[in-house]
Amino acid sequence: MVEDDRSTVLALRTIFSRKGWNVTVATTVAEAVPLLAQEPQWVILDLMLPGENGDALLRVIRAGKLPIRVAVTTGTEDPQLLQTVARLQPELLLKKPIDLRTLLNAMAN
Amino acid sequence: MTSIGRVIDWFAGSGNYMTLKHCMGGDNFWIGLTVTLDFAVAAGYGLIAIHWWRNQKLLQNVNARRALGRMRDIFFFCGICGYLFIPIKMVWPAWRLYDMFLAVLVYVTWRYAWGAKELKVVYTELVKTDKLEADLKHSQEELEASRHESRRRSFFMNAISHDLRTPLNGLVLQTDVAELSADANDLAGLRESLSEIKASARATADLLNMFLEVGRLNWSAVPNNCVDISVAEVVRRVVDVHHAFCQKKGLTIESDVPESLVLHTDRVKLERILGNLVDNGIKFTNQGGLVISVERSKDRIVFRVEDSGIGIEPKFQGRLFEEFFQVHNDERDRSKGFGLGLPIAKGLATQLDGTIAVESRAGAGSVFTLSLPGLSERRVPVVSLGTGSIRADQAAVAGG
Repeated sequence: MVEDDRSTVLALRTIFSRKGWNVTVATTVAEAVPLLAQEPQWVILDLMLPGENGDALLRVIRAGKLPIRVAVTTGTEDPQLLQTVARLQPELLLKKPIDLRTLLNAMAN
Repeated sequence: MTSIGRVIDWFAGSGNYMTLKHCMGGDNFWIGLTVTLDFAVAAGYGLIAIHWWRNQKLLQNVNARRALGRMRDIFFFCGICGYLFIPIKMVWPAWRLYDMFLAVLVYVTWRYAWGAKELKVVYTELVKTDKLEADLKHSQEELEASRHESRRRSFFMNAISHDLRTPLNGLVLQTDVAELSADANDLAGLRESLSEIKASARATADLLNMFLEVGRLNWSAVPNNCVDISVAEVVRRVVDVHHAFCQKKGLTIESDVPESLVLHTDRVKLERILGNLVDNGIKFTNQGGLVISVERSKDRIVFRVEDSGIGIEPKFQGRLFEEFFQVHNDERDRSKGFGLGLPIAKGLATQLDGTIAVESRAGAGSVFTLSLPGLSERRVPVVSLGTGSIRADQAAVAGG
């Protein structure tokens, strides 16, 4: 999970942990890139992050053709940023506040 | 005779000038033609002058008038040069040669004079072109302003969206966690979730309050409630309120205010302005501290809030007072605020007929200067009553 909002991190970590999933948290793209070596099944990626925006990480994943599925969560309305992200074809693109059921269903399949 | 002698003789004159009779004898026709052609040239010049005068009167356009002015100068010059030939005619009566030149001159002058009727059209077109250019420039400026406004609105919407959705996201997810905890009879987890829900709800409420405050500033002004206040007391209150925040960050906060200064203004608004400036300074200062100083400048009072923070590059300083604009906070980290404190301060300062300016260099701290009118010459002590204040003489009356 790449997210800088503390409350969101706490909630999702609790929910995922209760499902028995292992969660690793990064708050910036720079922190997240080395963690890709752990080959996570899913990356829950916030877009507006300190330093680089989240789309930079999605680009790294797509460029490396890594077998990682990505759920982008964002509160932004910036059409340019959203278009950029859509072109990188994440498995899920959710607007905050996210629908937990949609996220969990996608991750369970 | 030597060649030098001949030159001197030529200048001095030999006295053997050609007589007028001899000069004109037998050439009457050609002389008459020369005079006629001279008049024709003069008439052509006259016609051009009339056209010029009329156009000059009609034209409002500065460039066209300037062009006509240049044309007038050229014609004066040509006329003077042409008539300089007259003395030459007196000593060298080559009438037929002159007639040939004059005929060409008449043709050229009248052709121009006839065409000069069209000057008005030419310059009218010129005026139209100038007007079109001005209109185009105006339209381009309007388009650029509209684009800027559109970008600003887009930025504004994006900031509101992000800043509202982020705490809401935490809030909604924490309710999901609370449900899970309740289902699992996990009281500790439930309590933790409720605590997070409360924090997120509070953050959202704070944000909404800020939005409403900005809205109020933009759409309607709360009337000023001006009273005589002690500037030193207001500054002390602002320092006291922010002391804990400074301590938490390991910063110092000092004030340098003459005790005698009394200002006739709205106390609540002044405290809010200073509070926002100080709050902003603390957020963007990591070491050192802040100094608030006040001085009198003619009939105004100037407050300076100086910090030793990260400073602001000149290119960003013009946008500092725009809603939601924040330097080096593209990710919109809530701990650095929402970018509303400075616009609110500026809006309130405007309501008090004051101004706010900033001086800063990247890495060298910032100085925000608030200048307010209403310097009072009274030296009546001010009595503080909670958030408001009244003068001692008013207090005596109020107290009976």
